[in-house]
Amino acid sequence: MIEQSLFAVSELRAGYGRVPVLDGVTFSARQAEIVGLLGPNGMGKTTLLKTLIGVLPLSGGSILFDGVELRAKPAHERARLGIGYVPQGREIFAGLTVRENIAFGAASFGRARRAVIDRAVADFPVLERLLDRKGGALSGGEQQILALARALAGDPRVLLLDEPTEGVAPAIVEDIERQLIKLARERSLAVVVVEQDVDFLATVSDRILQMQKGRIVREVPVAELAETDIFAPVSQTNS
Amino acid sequence: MEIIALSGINIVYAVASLFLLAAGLSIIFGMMGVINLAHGEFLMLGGFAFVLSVNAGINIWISMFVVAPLVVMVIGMVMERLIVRHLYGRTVETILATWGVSLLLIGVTSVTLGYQQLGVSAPLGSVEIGDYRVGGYTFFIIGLAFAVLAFLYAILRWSSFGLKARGTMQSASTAATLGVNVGYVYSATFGLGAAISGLAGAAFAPIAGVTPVSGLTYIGKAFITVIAGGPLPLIGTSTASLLLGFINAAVTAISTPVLGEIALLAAAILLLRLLPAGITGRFFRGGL
Repeated sequence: MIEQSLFAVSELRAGYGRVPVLDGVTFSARQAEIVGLLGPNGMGKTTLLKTLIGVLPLSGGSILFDGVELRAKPAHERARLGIGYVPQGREIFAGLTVRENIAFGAASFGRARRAVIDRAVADFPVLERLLDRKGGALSGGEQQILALARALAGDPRVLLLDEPTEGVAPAIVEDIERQLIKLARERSLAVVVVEQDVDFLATVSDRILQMQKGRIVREVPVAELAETDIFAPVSQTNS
Repeated sequence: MEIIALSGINIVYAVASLFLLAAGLSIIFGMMGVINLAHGEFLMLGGFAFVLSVNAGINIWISMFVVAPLVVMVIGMVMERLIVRHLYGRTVETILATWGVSLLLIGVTSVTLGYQQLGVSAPLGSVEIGDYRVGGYTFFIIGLAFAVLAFLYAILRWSSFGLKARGTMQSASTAATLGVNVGYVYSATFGLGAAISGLAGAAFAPIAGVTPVSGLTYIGKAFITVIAGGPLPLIGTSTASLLLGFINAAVTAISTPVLGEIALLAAAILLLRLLPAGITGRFFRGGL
């Protein structure tokens, strides 16, 4: 039986003003699958995630989520449909406590605050002792875990992660790896993760796609990742 | 002894009045960052809505607590939707646009309601303190200020709307990616600030009366209080009200009301010279 894609992006084009960044991106993700997006800086990885969640407008192409076209929907509607997003730099609400940050993630979904926080603490036990601390007072790694817990509070079916290991201590990176794999399998999450840490991608990803100049140029077998030069030019064909 | 009691009441009343004048602005400017030069006219409109509805036979408390806040909230939300929403983050344009709204509201009320002062007698009679009498309404204003502070604190601290509003004001784009309709939150928060201003305008109408230019007497003090309070809208505005209101009333008690006003302004200037980020820029960090 062929498993249907939960999330399918086709010929996506977007940019900043008149400067095009994405030049026809096409890929898909299934339930419980972690898709890694690899590529050097400036290739459009962050722009792609921002366009998928709706922070940036697209100029062409299509985004299908469970058969629903998202291209005309604003960011909050995409989130309510089940797209979770952890931005680069975490974007934690510095003035809110950890408890409030997590509750914020569920505030638009009508879920009981207590239950959401209990589940976040069960998923990420390190958060328990931090619950009453301000988000801005956390370390980079703690903020990353909080951003992940906040995005998961809305019970998304697709999770978009932008550079989750940036500025994070190695021990916390391992925690994030374990949790990400576990959550994807247990909750049938489709995860799209943008990352430059090759080891992280090799550990968590089921499939790895290489981006260059606003396009996905090839799928890199996980076993070959260590030998892959992400800066080397590849002929422009979408996976 | 009676003089001490009366002076104490006057000081608390001055603090409460200052807080009520500035409470709506603490939401719209202190929390949302919108320099709303029409704030005084929100107070004026609240006063007119109150007086006109009382004159139309509506119960005085319903006029104050329901009609005036609702009327000004609707006007505020329309203003946010049509004008302010397009100017977030553009300070100069916001100042010009809200100043234009201020002039428009003064003009419209002047043409439709005339220049004469309208008013309603203050209810609640008076209270005897020794040989002196103090209006019962003075105590009502003090109680109202505490009630408004508690209401705003509760709604911002514990409600789902308050959580969304606080997060959205920190990062609207992040809030949107977490499912929050930020347009609605901006509109509702502006409406809340406008409603509180309408309530304050109604509360002052029995004391000061209302004219189309009433707002001009309020707006300076309101801005000074919120700016002196610093980045935390509620704690900042309440502590600044406490400090500036005390100075105003104390100097008034030993000299004249004019010198009291001058002392308030001088204290605000000195405070901002010593604490450029306001009181909560240095103290009480991490609250509301």
